[in-house]
Amino acid sequence: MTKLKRDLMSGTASPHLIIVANAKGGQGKSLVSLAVADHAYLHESPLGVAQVDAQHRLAYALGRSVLTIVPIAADARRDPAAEARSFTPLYNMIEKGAGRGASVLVDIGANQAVRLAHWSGLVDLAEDLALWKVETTLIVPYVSEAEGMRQAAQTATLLLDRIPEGRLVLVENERDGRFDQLHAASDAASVHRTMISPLKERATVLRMPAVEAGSWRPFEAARCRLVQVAQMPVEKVMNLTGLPRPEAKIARGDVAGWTATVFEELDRVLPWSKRGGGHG
Amino acid sequence: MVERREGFERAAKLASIERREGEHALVQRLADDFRQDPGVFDPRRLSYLSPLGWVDLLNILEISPPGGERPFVGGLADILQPEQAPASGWASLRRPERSAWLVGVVSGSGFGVVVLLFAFLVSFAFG
Repeated sequence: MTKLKRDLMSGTASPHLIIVANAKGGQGKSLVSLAVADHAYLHESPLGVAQVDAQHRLAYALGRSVLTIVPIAADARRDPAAEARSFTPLYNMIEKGAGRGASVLVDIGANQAVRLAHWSGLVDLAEDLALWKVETTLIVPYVSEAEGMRQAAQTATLLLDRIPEGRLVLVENERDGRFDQLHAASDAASVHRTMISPLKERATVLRMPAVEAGSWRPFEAARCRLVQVAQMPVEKVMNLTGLPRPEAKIARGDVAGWTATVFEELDRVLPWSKRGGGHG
Repeated sequence: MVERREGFERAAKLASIERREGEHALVQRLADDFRQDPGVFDPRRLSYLSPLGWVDLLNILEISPPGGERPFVGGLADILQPEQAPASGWASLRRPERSAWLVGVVSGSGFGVVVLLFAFLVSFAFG
């Protein structure tokens, strides 16, 4: 019997809304979302997946049905209610999930966080989430460059303003370098000091190490899921990536090691993990 | 822990062990290829090495840091052979830079002449 079934029977299962957002692109949102979805899969926890984005990266990577809400800027200019209506499927998904004890993951594309914030204010989402007993986790990834961190802080502040009860999780993506090695006089260090550090007082901070440059890319191009890579026979990796045997073993090992580290970090915050738990 | 997660953890550990084996095989092959013909060695193949792999490769090639006893052993010659002339480098292609002051004066004067010519033509055309 799975943990979720036990929790449902004992009445301790608690649905969650997990929002992954940063208004700036290239910060690792899709990779974090993919890791969260795979973490839920490993823990046999039901999870609905949605994305607010014109791109369909998450749907391609997960190879499953993903609710996609695309931008409708032109329509919104003519009819503001159309913008609100475009989010109705997401509202229904959260409501249905809450009824079944299932969580929902929402990947917010670049420049789309304002739309979500506007809509959640319009429908008073925070009130409905409280009514449905859905807890919210807001995950904001960023790399070690000034604009990514600035946008991360603004996104976090904006969404927390709409969903004040949300639990904030900052993900420090070390793809462009480690955060403890920022030069004190740099713009990035200044933004980290003035905008990120105050948020850290109320946030859980996760570390996302850099995945070796050439290792993940061929798997991503082949639409592999993170959990599949570690269990893939080396011959399949060779066929998939076109790499010779030693390089195939290295690429697979890099991705497997990276995924294991990220899962350990996610254990600290995701509700279906033993270590994650709820808020507070 | 859930069974699926335990299965993943086992697979990830195994993949990490096999990664080290793969890297060891790659290091050996890179060292052999480099010794055989450094001229055709493709440096992009080094991109899969971790810092530990780099250390292994440098050890196998017996390359030590500057000031070490024998900087190059193996595929590269330690001492220049008498028939090998030292490379001439880029020195012969160097040209002295133009004086910024001189360039400024010349281009300023040129621009002035063009303006005067234009003004003269305009006054000539309109009377």
